[in-house]
Amino acid sequence: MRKIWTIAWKELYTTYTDRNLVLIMIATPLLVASIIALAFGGQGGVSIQNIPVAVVNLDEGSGGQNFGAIFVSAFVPPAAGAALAGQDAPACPDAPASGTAAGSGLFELTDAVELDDADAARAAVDAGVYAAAVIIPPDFSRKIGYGPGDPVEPVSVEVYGSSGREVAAGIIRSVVESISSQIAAGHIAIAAALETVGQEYGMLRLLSLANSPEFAASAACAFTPAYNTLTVTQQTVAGQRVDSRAALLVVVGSSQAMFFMLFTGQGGVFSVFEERRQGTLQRLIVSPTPRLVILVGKMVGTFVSCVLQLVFLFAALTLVGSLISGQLTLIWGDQVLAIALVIGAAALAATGLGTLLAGAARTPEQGQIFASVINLGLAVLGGAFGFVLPESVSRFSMIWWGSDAFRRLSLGQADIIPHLLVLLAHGVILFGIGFWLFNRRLDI
Amino acid sequence: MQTMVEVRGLAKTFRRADGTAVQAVKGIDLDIFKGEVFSLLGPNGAGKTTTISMISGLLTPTVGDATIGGHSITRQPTQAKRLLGVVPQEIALYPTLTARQNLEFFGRMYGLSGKALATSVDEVLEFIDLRDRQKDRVETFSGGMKRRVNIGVGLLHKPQLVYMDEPTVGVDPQSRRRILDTVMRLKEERGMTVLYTTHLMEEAQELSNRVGIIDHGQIIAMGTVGDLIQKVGEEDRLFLKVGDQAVSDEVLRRIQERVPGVTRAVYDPPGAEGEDRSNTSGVIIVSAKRGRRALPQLIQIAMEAGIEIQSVEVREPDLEAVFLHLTGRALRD
Ligand SMILES: Nc1ncnc2c1ncn2[C@@H]1O[C@H](COP(=O)(O)OP(=O)(O)OP(=O)(O)O)[C@@H](O)[C@H]1O
Ligand SMILES: [Mg+2]
Repeated sequence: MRKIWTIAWKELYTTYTDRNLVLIMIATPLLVASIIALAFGGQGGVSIQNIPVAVVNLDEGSGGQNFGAIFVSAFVPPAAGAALAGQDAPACPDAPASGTAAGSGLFELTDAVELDDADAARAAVDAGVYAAAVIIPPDFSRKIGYGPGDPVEPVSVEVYGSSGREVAAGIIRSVVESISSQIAAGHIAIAAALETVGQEYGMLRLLSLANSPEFAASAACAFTPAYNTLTVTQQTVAGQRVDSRAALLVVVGSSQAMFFMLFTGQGGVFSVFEERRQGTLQRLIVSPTPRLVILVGKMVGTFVSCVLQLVFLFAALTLVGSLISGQLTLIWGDQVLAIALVIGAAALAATGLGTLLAGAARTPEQGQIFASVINLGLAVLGGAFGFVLPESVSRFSMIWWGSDAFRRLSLGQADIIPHLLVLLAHGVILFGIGFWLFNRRLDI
Repeated sequence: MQTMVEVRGLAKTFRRADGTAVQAVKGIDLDIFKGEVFSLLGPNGAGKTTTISMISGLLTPTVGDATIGGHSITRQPTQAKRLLGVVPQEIALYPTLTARQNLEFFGRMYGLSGKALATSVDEVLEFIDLRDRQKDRVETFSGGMKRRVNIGVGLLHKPQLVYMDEPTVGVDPQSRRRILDTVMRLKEERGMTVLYTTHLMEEAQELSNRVGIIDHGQIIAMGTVGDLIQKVGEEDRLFLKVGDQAVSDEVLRRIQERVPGVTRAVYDPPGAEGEDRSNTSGVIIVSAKRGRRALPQLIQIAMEAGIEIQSVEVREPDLEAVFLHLTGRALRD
């Protein structure tokens, strides 16, 4: 119906011609995400320095290869590091000529030590000595060093964060995530390259091939401090380039975008209250326009507003990411359709939440209070404030579902179907209940 | 005469937050004829806005129904609403949109589009004399200009019936004159039926073909201005200003008994809320059949009682007097 679009268009027009609103909707989350990403001490950027970190490598290795050591070498400067000590700096073909340990952004960012005892490290974090402890499990290499035909087993590196230093712990967590994905990616690439060799030699275990000098060299090249982990880019499985700072921009940017979109969703639906106060809602009701059309028009406007907010933000963050890395970088990945679907589902969930709150609140003031409490709660749970919460807890927040889906897509992964379904379910259920409540309230 | 609006047994009871009920409108019957200006005249809180809101479909009546052009507002709201243009009491516009954007938006809500919409908007802008400011945001307008846009929105779709709810409240005299002229032009140039509410008897008297006087949610009198004045027997009212001099009941009794034609004499002390609101002085209010003739005797009695009369005003019968006559209260609170 044409009137729905007229109302929706008017919503968008009034929203996006309001400079203050646009500032809050787009500029604020953009700034927050960019500052955090720049905090990684890029040239001239704001920097967070010397985060105290404990690295505990319990990895028992597999086939002579110890992947856990990569973490140690990434965090701990060579002088103090134990893992690659004694090895000569590998000859890395495309490493910068002047690439030395002094150039590593990570060493400036963190002040890491290697410990042997995981419990002691956790206790030290609790005591406030370290912002986070990175603990690599004993079976890390065994599980990650698979060959064709081996079952793919999930393995995780624990980041034990201090609850008093969420931002620092969050940064460490994202660094670990980025290193993990690089290990997986680098290893898979090499394993795939060696597969042909494996077939020639029949029974040859690829695991021992992974231990070949070529692999060791290239892994070392990729992850030694000399190469500067933070700027290194690696081929991922999808053949896409990933930058750690860009990865952080994705993690922080998407959760900030989700968080701020909640306000847009609520603001859009709550504007009904404003319209009632200024009398324009009454004008709409006395025009030959069914109430349902008025309501749906408002919601369509709000939904599109949320979508636009995400699109603008993602485009802007892509620009920021590209500026940081000095070249055009599609930080969100290239699965445009999947990204669009997640954006749509997330916007629906946010609009649904707004509708529910507007329907449940007796007064706009009450609605605003509900909204603030719920948004902050979802943000804390969903990791928008850099809190490191277990995934089982984060799953209660639509912010997590949205930002995790965007993060996965940015890494070239495609397993976002559950995320889509959860967001859609949020949208449909909240919308349904809210709509029903709200329609009754429109009867002034 | 063709009926435009037919109201039968319309009533509205509001339920307050504390659970008590407010009977804002208590069963109203009303007919408004095609092409006339009908005024609902009543003091603040009489139920004018509530009545008009039910007629326009904004409020659901507790009891009763209204039809516009034969369409029931409760059962065929869309058809009924198409015939109706609305000018609400409060300005109801989007402040951040321009005058033109406001008109276009609401025009679309009345089903206008394309060329018809553009023409209609141009005509209305011409009519409310805001063509040169059409591209400015409404929030930058003066109160009077906003009022004019507020009226313009109600006229966009050339409705057969337009209702205006106290459109002159809080408006300077010049803008007010303009609005009253607009109402007359709507009726005369466009043949529109106008339903006008006000608590100002001068406006009702000047504009209306017929007036319904509403008080405490009920119509207490209805008819042409002439009809209604007939009801109070064409009495003049004399206002004798006496400053802060005391006026005894004895004086009032003597006036009523000794002066021919006097039906009532009351004393309105200074500072009290009375018929004359600019009341820094005490006033003796006398109702009399032929007021001017009674004047010499009134002055005589006052002098005998030692009261000096500072000024005299004679008011011919008007709707104010009708309301006073019917309710014993002044129309303005
Ligand atoms: N939504 C509401 N809830 C409760 N009471 C209401 C509501 N709306 C109006 N009333 C009450 O109904 C009565 C009539 O109000 P209404 O607004 O119709 O008066 P009015 O004649 O338009 O007055 P005014 O000249 O001040 O505009 C008043 O006593 C008012 O307090
Ligand atoms: Mg009113």
